[in-house]
Amino acid sequence: METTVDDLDMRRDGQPAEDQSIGNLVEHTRTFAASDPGSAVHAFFGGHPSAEGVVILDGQAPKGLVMRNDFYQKMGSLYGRDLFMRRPIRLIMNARPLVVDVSVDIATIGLIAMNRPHDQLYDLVVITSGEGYSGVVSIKRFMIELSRNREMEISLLKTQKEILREANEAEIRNRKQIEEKSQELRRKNDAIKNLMDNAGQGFLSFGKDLVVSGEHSLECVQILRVPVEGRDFVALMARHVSPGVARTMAQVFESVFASDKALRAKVYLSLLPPEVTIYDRSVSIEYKIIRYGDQKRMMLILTDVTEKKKLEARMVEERNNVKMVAKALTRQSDVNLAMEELAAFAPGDAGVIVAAAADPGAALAEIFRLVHTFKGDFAQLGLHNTAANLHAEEDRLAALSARPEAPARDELTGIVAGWDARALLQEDVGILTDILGKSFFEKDERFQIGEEALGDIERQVMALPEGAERRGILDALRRLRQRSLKDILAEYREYLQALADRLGKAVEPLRVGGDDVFVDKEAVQRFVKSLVHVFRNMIDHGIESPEERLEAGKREQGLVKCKVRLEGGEARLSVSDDGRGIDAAKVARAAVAKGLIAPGDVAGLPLEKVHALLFEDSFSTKEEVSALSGRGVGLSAVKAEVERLGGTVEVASTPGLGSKFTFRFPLP
Amino acid sequence: MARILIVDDSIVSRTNLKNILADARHEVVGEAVDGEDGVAKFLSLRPDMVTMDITMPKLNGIECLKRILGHDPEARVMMISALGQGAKILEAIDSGARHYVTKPFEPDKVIEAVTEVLGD
Repeated sequence: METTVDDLDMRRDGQPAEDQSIGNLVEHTRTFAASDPGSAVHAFFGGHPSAEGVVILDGQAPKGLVMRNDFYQKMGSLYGRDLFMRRPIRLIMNARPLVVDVSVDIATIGLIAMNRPHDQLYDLVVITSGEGYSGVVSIKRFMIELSRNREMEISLLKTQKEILREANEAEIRNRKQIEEKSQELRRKNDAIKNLMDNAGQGFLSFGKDLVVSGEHSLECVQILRVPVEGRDFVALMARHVSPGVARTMAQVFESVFASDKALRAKVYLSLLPPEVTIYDRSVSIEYKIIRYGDQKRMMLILTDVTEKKKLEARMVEERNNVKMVAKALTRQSDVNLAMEELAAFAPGDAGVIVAAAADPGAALAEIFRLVHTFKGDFAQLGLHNTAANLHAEEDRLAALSARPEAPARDELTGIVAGWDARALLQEDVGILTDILGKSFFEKDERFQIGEEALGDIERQVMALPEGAERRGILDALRRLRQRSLKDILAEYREYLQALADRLGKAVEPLRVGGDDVFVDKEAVQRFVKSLVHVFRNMIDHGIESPEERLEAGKREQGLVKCKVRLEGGEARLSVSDDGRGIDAAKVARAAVAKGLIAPGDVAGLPLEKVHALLFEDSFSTKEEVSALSGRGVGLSAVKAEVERLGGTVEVASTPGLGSKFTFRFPLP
Repeated sequence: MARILIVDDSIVSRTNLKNILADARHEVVGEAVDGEDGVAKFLSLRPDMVTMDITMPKLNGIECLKRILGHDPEARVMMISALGQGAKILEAIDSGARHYVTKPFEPDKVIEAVTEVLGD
């Protein structure tokens, strides 16, 4: 092969060529399980300053590598120590170290090792023998070994001129050989390069005999962990696929090489496995027929798609999560109800059913039906993980009822007692809590999602594929922005009470009644805010002082009421009080004083006209401007806001009995 | 446009296939409900190609295929199989079937296979 030193050795001792395997360089290093804590590795490195790294095993199979330098680098990072000391070592291991079988020759290992990413160039090479871990090769030792051989060679040259000359000649010959070989290698490499469009893919080819040729890319060895050149491809795959699939492969290749018809070959190839699991990695295989002149060969392209698949799975999961959150959001009370019911059922109610049933078979049937119903409910609500967990329980019950003998009550009791609604719900509750917060599950409180979070979810839903499902979710989300006008108005309750207290008035809590009319919160926000002027006027001017009210034969506490009605696509909101009513004469006087009407016009002015004056800009009836409602901009602002919604306002008043503002505006 | 014979014991499967083929402007000249019926209809109708279910009563799809090829070695037969019938498909292809599609049908794949078989 290519190594000078070995050739010299062979000549010097007259020994047969030493086998080119890595065997004599293999060392043993400490191994750990993936679940061992970082602290265990830390302790080992501390006690073994010359240890370069440790290997992480799963049973006998190598799963990862932790190099000393990487380890301390990670520990040294901010929070690294806190993060990794107590957590499993798998979190910081290199999950894809270079793993090769002991039978792979030194030159190939050297090539692969030197082709590694820069930061892994000097990492240990993990050596396996068959399926199991065998040891490691240190790149340092690899190099020392090379130079030691060179030293020996030099001393030899020093003491034995003859050998020196011979060695020199040999060296020259070898150099020539190397040159020739490397030229050949370059040619081969060029040929391979032409085949390979992408790095990181394994290319190999074989003819009718299924023997893999020398022109293969290194990735093949990395994926299969054994030398591939000269090996039967189906035999190479046999350890990774079922005997049936291996048989199919052999049959298909035989038929492909025997057939001249293009369609036939294509149909045969379609029967080959498109993906094979090799050492826990998902490897996709493309099969192509290539022709050199009249020679036909199979070319296979092996690609490690594990990460890609993980990514895809994560994307699917994220999409499902978005759907779940959106659905749950729009059906919060249903979600909470279903969760409560499940909590009561598993294990409580289910246990009662089992204990109370005369016949365990009947209990099993009943429980099975209920679990099945729960599964359907949760799937409907988009809580897929919970549905999947229930599905697994349903399978257990199904297996039980499929047995020829009737189930034992004890067994059924055991299964039911093992249920824990919290565990069944855990994943979905976790996801919902992450995104919507804990208050989503607090049933007493009216759950409200922030505008920002809602917009965020909406954007994510927009990223889903277009279709009926997406439209449904979006509609439901839009409805979330809507609230019952009654609920919005009820928010004035505290304000009204505080206001009355400040003004020395007594009022009953604000009453809000009528229909549930849903409106876009954003759209009516300004109008609802402007209603503060109506309330202020009512408390300030309308509601009398307690003494005055008692004298007038009224209840001491005044009353303010809101009533919402839906009337032919229009919302009608009336706000009324039981105070002294609007003093028309006083309003007219004030209007004259402000120059809004001429003194001569006061007599005979219809009541509506008088009331309309209340909504004029800069109108106030109080002789002195009160801190609260006397600035005279109030009611005109309310009128402006309701008109902005395309609506109207009217006032009615009965002296001594109260007044009533009625707003009408169209619903979008 | 080709004249096609459907051999399949499932009416659902036949109807599906018929719709897919009709959409691609092929003419379904006959439907056989089992293997024996399939051989008989092939001989009487002489279609341009046959779609052949594998699992059928009386005579299974592979036997039916062999008999048809016994009468006409050039007959174009495409197998219809359920997922996971790899070994059966291999046997059918070895026996001379030109192609196969798997159930549930993807219309595009069916038409692509039919086109390939007709052009073979």
